[in-house]
Amino acid sequence: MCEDGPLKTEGLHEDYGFHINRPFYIVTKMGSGRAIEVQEGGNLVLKWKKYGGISQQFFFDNVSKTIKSKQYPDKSLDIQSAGRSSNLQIWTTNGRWFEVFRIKREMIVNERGKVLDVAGGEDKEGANIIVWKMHNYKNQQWKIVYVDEDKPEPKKGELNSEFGLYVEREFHIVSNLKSGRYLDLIGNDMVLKTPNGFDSQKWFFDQKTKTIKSVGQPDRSWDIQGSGKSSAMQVWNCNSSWW
Amino acid sequence: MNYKTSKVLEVAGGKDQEGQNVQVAKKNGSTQQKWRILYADKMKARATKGLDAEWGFHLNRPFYIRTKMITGRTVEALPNGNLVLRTIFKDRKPQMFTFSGIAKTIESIEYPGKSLDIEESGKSANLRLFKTNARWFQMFRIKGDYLVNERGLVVEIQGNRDNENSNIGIGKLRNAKTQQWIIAYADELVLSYEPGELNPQFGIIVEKEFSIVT
Repeated sequence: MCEDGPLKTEGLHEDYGFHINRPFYIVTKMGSGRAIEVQEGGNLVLKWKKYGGISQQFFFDNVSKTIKSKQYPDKSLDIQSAGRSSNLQIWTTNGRWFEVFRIKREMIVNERGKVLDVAGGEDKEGANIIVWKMHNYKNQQWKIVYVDEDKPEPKKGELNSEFGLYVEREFHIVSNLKSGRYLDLIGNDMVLKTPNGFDSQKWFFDQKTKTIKSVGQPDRSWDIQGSGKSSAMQVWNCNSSWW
Repeated sequence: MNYKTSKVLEVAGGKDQEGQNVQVAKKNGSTQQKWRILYADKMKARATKGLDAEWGFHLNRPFYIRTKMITGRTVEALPNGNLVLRTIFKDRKPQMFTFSGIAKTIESIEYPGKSLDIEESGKSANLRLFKTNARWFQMFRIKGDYLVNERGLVVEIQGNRDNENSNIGIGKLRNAKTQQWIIAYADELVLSYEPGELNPQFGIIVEKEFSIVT
């Protein structure tokens, strides 16, 4: 169920820290720029931010003092099981304490001190959103990006200024060591090699997954081995995790 | 730089060599961690002819690899991929090679897509033809009279004799005649011999009197 017309905005609510009725994305500060998204059934997870994606848009309702879903405007952010769970969801707006949150510095805090938190601190597709005791790590820090100030995603050939790379434009990576060799692949492993014409030395930035992919193996992305625990680099099936 | 850990890409151990591993590490500002992005559409067109000064070969110009030993025999590729020394014949394709400006390997004219290759991924002493992969064990430069790779191994005639069918392999540089070669470009090849030289195709020295003894 979607709202018909634009909401009438009423400026900043100084106590709660949100602009009233002004749609926004809730973006993690962990680095990827993923946003909270409403799933079918009402659960909330982290997903790549979609320009104009209504399932990732919320607004502050000054009547109930809750954060409502733009996609389901009769529902609000809600701590499951009437506040007894740690899971966050959207639920029919009731304005009870487990639906009321304020912005405090970079956190979104409930009056009982629980804050919005990415479960496990994992900045990955589908990471669950919960409430947790405040510890101020990055997985509890958020940026409110108002939809009317959001910039469209760069298209093919345009610069992604956040990543410093042009979208889907092939490039080589040249070592500054004396011989100027290129980054290359032997099998899946990253190595240094004399420039040649092979696709294993060509790379491109994929806007959808925000990863660097191999032209020779376009279903694979740069990957720190061992799910980020190793120092070795390879290309691996794209999972858009932080590693 | 990885957005979560701020670790950066670096050449392991700072070793600027073929096939050296690339990993991530804490940023320290060293040269081994510095890279530049070169967009493919901004690159100059690759040269297709002329001398590749770094490797010493002319591009796309077929050549023979002839020993500097007296017979002047040349390297020939056999159908099984092995390389042996044989008497030179003009326009004989298994004896002709070309330098690949793309892969930086010495490719066979008779067997396109295959290059000189140290067997067993560089662990063997045998040289053969194998599918071009541009790894270190397929890359040789001309240095003076030698065909040398970056690990200092040179192409040589095994057994120290320039006999017909002597095997071609790899050895450490020891300034031996069996390691010395002439790159004879096919478009310049003249198979004539001066008086006193051996004509290898006939096995007789030119204009030198001889007796035939029963």
